[in-house]
Amino acid sequence: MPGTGLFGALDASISGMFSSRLATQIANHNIANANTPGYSRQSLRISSATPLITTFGAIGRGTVVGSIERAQSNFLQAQLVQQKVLYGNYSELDNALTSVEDILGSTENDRIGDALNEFFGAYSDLATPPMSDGKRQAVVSQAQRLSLQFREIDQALNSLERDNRRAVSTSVDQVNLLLGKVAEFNSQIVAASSRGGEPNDLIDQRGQILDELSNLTRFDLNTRTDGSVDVSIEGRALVTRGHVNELRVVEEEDLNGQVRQTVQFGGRNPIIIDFQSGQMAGRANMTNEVIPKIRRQLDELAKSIIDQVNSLHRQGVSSGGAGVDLFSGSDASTFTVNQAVVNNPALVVTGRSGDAGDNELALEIAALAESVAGGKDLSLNEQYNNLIVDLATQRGSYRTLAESQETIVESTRNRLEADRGVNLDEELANLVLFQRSFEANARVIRIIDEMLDTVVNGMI
Amino acid sequence: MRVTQQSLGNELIFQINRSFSRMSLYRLQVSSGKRINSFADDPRALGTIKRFDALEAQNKQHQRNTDAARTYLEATDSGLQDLSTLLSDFRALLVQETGPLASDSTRAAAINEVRGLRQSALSLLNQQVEGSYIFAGYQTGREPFSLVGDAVTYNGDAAVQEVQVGPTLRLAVNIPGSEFLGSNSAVLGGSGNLRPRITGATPLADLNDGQGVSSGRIEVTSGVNLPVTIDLTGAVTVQDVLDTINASGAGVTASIGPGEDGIRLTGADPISVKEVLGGSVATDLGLLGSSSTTTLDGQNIQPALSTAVALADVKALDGTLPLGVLRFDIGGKVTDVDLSAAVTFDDIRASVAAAIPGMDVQLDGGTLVLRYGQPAPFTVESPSGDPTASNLGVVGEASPARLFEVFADVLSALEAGDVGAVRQSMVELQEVHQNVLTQLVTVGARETTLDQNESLLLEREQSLRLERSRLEDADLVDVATRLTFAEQSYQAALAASASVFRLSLLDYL
Repeated sequence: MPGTGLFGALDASISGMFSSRLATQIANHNIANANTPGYSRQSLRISSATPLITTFGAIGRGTVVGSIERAQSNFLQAQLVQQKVLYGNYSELDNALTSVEDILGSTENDRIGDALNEFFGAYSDLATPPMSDGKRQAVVSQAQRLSLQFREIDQALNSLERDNRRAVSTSVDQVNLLLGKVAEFNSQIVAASSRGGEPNDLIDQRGQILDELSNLTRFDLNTRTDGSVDVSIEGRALVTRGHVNELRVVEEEDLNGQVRQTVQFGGRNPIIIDFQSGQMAGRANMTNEVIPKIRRQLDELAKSIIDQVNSLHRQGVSSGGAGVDLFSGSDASTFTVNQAVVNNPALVVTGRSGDAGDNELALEIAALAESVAGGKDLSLNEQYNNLIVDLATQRGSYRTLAESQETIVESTRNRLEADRGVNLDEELANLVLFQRSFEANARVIRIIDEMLDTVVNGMI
Repeated sequence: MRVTQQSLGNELIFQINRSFSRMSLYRLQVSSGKRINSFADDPRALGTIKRFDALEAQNKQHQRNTDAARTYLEATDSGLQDLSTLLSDFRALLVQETGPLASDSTRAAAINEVRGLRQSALSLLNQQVEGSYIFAGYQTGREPFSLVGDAVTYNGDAAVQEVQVGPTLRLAVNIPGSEFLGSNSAVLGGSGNLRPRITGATPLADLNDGQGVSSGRIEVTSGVNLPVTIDLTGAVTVQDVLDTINASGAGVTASIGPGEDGIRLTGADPISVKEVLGGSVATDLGLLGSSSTTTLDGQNIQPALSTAVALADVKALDGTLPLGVLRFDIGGKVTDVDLSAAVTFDDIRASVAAAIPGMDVQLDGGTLVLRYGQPAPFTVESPSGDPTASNLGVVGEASPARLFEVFADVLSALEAGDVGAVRQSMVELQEVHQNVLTQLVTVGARETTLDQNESLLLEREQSLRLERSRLEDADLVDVATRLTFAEQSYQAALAASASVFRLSLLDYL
């Protein structure tokens, strides 16, 4: 009866030793990759070999190594991607708004607010008799300071906007790079699968690439049966098996001269990708919406100041002659003090009559900061206040969102890590277990050897 | 639940980071003392804080303006005080020049002195603060008052400069020089003597324009007879005095003089009256002195004119009653006031006031003064043939008193030696002075407003700061406690991670 003999027992033991050795090796691999980002714990699937059916029943024939399996948690993985995308969006906006806040001045050093107060204060000084040339000079200096703040802030916001646009380009390059890698892994995984078996480590590495991609943008995955994944962003398929549609950045000026940046792909009929979430969306939002809006508000405020002050100032008469504009320009970037007034501060007016002591107009100009004029609903101070509150509210909400999102991401990541990650103690215990199993199998072989010795040498 | 080294590590790193950032947040709050250090810390409060910033800056500005306005008002105040003193001196000089001691030589000196006073008044009104003339209205760049020949011209205007000293409060700070050029009223000083006649029933206390007669004795000598001392201590009325003298046996008869303005003594010989022991009774009765004839007519000792005096009691009006019509012409508008029903001076006053609102009949010693409450010139006369106006001594033209015209009038009156005209000018001077005092009151009221406003501004500043600090400042005790907790949790996280990672199965194999 074949298989029931001592040699058959030897086979069973050898299969035990083999599977123990393999399991040790896997534990070894797990321990080695305990800290590898994105690594999924592997385990050996072992089953008992098909027993030998005899007249007295089934006789075990040792173990059979099934396959090396990867601890998978597709649900958590998808969750993590989702949450990271949101976090990327919020934290990007929070960061960018922090830069805007830094440009406008901290809570202590409020650049425009202070300059507004100083300018209208200087005019109030001038309105208080006696009206001296020194006070006129002070008005001119404060007017220069005010306009300079607007120009500087506008310039800084402009370069922030440019930096952001550049950052979008960089992000697009990065997205392209990552998509390329995904496509490459797709090809490798398909090839490895066709040779049989799961290319676990390749899948892990591709997972890691996708994880990185989720920092940048939201995307959808479609896993094919051959092991490859298709990646689409905002419904546009960008990776299909080994093929990549590369993204590119296009900048266009709209009718108002405002540069609008879009991300597109495709040749003759390019398709615009409208990022809805993730860091890319945050950056695009910042570049195309948030910063331009603040600049628009600043432009409006600058225009209000220029128009309202000028319309009063022009009504005046000074020792230097009929009233001229105090400010020139029409928005924050062109906001300056009329050069004629800078050259001759005597042109700063205080009254409509031209009399040395007429301070009526100066009183009116000084009151502009707090009065509603020029067809607006709000005074200049209130307009500025609204701008700040608007910005602060946005920052506040994005920071809160980013902070709470960070917690969610972290806990999701932990759950994922807990699920698929390597527990060293577990692996060590496994090592001990398989070591003992190996030793036991070896001992069984020695016993069988002794038994064979008895048969071969003792009986013959 | 399954836990792996990596998830444990991530969790710990996350917690450590969080504790650390919380700790650094509290550290920032403690070191800056502020709860809000960035826009995102409390957007809603930030808006209010920024608003407070603007309001505080505005408040500071209003305080600065208040200080500047005070400098201006103080200069105005002291200028007006000096002007008031100057006008008092001026009046004192004119009193001297219309008094009994005035002579041609004092007059010449007075002319020089008046010129000097005018010069001083000019320099007071041409005062500057930091190069601006303060009494010039809007024309602060040039001298408001200039003397050309003997006339002073005003080069300023009537504009009032205001200063913003509160969110809604604008305060006028200057008194334009035009205010000194005209008084707020026009006055016609009357002439004549409308004091009531003396009768036996006239109380001694009313005599001498109400100053009365002191009590005591007089010494009366008639011819070569021995002087007789008459004790008038108990006398209450004029009749008591007459009776006492007549009963004294001094050889004189006392009666009310023909002018009904004093006492007449008659006897057989020249009469002399002297004071006894430094008394002043004889002087008070107007009898001090001696006569070369047998009659001694005493001085005028009439009572003052009062509103209650009946017209019939005024000797100057004897034979003219009832009164006729007073015709007022105010800027071409003619109003006739019929006084035929008037019995007392109060009736005259009431009739005039009823016919012309703002026109007041005032009494000044023995004359009437017509004062119109607006700076409009007016004339008073009676229809032709009606002597009422001249009987009441109020014929003429009244114009608002002008500071430098008073100087000019006085100078020409002094040069002409016209004491009557000088007296007339004194009424105008009084008006001008009154006007300056009114301006002083105005300036004083503004200074009070400024003071009140300043304390209001300071209060507002306090409350703004308080509100701001309530919103912005960190509660140090609270933050320090939180900081301690954060430090502890940070330490705990570090300690936990150190001990967790130390544990490994490796140690036991």
